[in-house]
Amino acid sequence: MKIRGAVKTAATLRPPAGGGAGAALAMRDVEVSLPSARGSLRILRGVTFTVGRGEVVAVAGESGSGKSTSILAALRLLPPGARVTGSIVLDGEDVLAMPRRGLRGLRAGRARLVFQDPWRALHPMKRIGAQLVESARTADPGLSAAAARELVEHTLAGVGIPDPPARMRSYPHEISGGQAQRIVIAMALVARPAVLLCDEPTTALDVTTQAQILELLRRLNRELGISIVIATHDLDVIADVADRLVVMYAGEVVEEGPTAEVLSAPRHPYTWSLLRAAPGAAEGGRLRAIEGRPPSPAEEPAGCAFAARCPSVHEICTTTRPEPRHVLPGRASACLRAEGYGPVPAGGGR
Amino acid sequence: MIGYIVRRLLLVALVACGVTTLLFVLARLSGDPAELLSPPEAPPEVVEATRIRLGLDAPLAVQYAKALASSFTLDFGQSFAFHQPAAQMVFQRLAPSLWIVVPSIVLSVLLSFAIGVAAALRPSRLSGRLLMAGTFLTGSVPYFWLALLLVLLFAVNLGWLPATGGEGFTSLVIPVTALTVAAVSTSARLARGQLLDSFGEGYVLTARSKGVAPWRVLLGHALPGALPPMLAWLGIEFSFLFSALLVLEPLLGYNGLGALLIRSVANQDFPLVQASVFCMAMLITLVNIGMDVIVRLVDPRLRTKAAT
Repeated sequence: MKIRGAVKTAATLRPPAGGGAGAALAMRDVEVSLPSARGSLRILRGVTFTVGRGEVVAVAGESGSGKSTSILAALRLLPPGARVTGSIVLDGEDVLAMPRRGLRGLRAGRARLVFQDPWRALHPMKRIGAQLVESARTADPGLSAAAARELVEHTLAGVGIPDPPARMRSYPHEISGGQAQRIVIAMALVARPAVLLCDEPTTALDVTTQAQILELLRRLNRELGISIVIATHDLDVIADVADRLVVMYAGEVVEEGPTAEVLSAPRHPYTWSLLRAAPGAAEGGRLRAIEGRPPSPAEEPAGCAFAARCPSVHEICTTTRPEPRHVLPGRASACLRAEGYGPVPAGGGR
Repeated sequence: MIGYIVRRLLLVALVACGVTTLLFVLARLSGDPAELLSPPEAPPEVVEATRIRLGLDAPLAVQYAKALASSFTLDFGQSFAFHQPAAQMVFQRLAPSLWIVVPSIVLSVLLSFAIGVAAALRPSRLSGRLLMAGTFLTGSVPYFWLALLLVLLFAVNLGWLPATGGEGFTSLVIPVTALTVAAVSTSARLARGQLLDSFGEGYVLTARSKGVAPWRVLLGHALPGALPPMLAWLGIEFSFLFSALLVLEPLLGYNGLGALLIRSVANQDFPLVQASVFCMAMLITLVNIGMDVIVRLVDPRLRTKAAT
């Protein structure tokens, strides 16, 4: 049991109540299939990665790579009919084996989500204050309404919202995107979660606001020790904020390692192509389209899913399915020829 | 908000003038009530006397001006056939009609909400599909035919209920049941569809991700999002139910506004036709405006747009 009762009065951003041994999030061989008109689609094909306590991990990939699905699966929030196998341990709990009530408690108090589009995430017909107070009180049912309001006000001030009482009376359509995303983050923080799962938290925002939101996330991680997972398709996000980087492609993890190392010396041709496709900071460092398309979830390539687009494809790649393996200390790659991957591609490094 | 209400009420005045004009034209095209009210063999002088007594000898422009004025004074003159003030007769017959319409609305809202929620919670399961199939079935049964079947079964064969109106609450059972069944099918399907849309919204996912209890996700998050179209539909349903009274009341021998209107049309009783149609049109317009206002109260986004 967590000790919750001792801290009833409101205070500013307090350290998370969770904690304990083990990883913040451990996904092991997670497979997800969703039902569709033409049979079930495999969205995740055995995803394994770990987010340590107090770490910031970015899960990067193109749209459809499975990064958002991984995040939703971690809280069992996938649409009805989704089949999930493997093992997901979130803040010490076996998510797939948890009863509904326990799962609700985990979502309410210990692991929170931040969505891509803050206007879609906030209820358009309810005042911001009411939505945040509800959030605080699901996390801690013992909290009085007045104490919850106070906690919400402090948290809003903590994430940089000017005049919190006025904002709490507003409706979501009355505020700017940057403020809305801060409010969504505050809605998660009032629960004092141990883990914060962010699904493309800056995609809907303009560049200046993006930087501010990322700085806020970094600060929350440093000051409160919250473990943070950020799904993103934006390499700029990764470089400045994440300790470690997990690169996903077609429902699989293709490369993993410390952010700086992966970006300066990728060990998978997909990561390499991503970096080369982003020619310098002038164009924002976004993941540009690489020639071809990723395989659809309905296809089952016999070999490597990236083979068809790979600049250094080998015969063996089309017949043998590569598994992620350690190629350097702390580095994993799912390329059969990872060892052959040497120096930084010209112009692609940072 | 107040400006919005005032603008909508100005629209009511416009509707009143429109309805009056339409009625005036249609009534004058439909024939000469003086001849209808005079004995078949009456000499032309008698018919002429009747015409003068009814005020139909005045120039059309004067008659039209009088009709227009009556929409604002609510004095529609004496009924040709009953020799009573038309407005008063309509007012007396309004209550029995509302006794059918209001319970039908309340029951159909409750039922369609229950069915819509039940079906939306299990959209792909057999029970959910059966519920929707059921609403298609009841929706395709004409309400007047259902009413006749109910009369046959419960009044004629079993003798549990009166076959006609005027016998207190028990005479309400058959018309209210028939109208409720007719109204439920569409609104239940609407409720289901709106709720399913709402379930797919980001804010419902947010609520679930906050660990909000399922019943609160449904009532506190999904339902408010689904509410505005359902409220707007309620106004339309109200006008459907009122128009259904025109068939149902004469059919069941029920002395409401619907039966009165049918009879006054047959009698070419201009003042009574004008008064009863005017009353129905105003009720329907006001209820719909009321729904628009409620939708605005419920949805803050519409309020802001109205202010700018």
